[in-house]
Amino acid sequence: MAFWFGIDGQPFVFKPGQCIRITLLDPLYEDKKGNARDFSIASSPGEPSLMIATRMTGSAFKRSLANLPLGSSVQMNGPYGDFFLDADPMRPAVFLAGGIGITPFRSMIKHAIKQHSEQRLTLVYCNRTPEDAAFLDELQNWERENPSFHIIATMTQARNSGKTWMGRRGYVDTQFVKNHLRDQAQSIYYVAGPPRFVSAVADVLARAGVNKGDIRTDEFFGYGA
Amino acid sequence: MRIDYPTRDQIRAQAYRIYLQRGCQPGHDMDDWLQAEYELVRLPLHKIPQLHSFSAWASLVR
Repeated sequence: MAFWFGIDGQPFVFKPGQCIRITLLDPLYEDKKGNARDFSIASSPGEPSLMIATRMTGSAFKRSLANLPLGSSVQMNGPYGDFFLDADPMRPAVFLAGGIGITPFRSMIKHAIKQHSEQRLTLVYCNRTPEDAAFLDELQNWERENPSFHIIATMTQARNSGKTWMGRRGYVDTQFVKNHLRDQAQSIYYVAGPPRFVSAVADVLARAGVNKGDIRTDEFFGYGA
Repeated sequence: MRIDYPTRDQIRAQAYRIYLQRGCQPGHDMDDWLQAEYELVRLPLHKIPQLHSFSAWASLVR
């Protein structure tokens, strides 16, 4: 579920890929984890509102967030984090997202498109089924409209989907990296998702010959929230 | 028969282990499943046939 927060026209400077801490001021539900959580920012700089996207887990925080009346105020701190695009636009970027780990990449990709960047961006988006893949339609539209952006969405359980899936099926393994992710020597690789997905994919990249110094990782905020 | 990838039942067992390790917090089934898949896929191929299915594993931990 996506949530939009107005920032009252105040400047809020952040780099795509960074996160914020949201504190609920008067939550309907409470638990021992408190009233604050960290989220990657899914919108891009310059938008009038700030967007986060999260799976609704049923936690006290998320139930309170979902039940906030429209127009409610929250406290927002940040931005935090150093997971953002390398400054060198000549180096292609390869994003590998697992599930809701897509949020920092949505921000990066949208920002690059708005800036008319010529940096080559490839997104490998890993999910069980198309229904699980947040922002998939939007990302596919961006690919059609932007020659610098390419998406490879891959589903591991497409046969259990109610939708017809004509795209790639299967895992990201070393053969996939060698076959599909060109410019391996020049690219910088960014991996985001749940912790064990991130470590497994970083390991796959290293075994496929990617220099470890060219792999950036981000275990997404909100896991366990 | 050569098995290249873990079966759905083996992934289910691993996802359930992750759920237990997280303290049985609900709502992260998609993340647990994705993590289970990638944990098992990174195993050496010869290890995969040795993994318990969910039903076999559940009977062991009962």
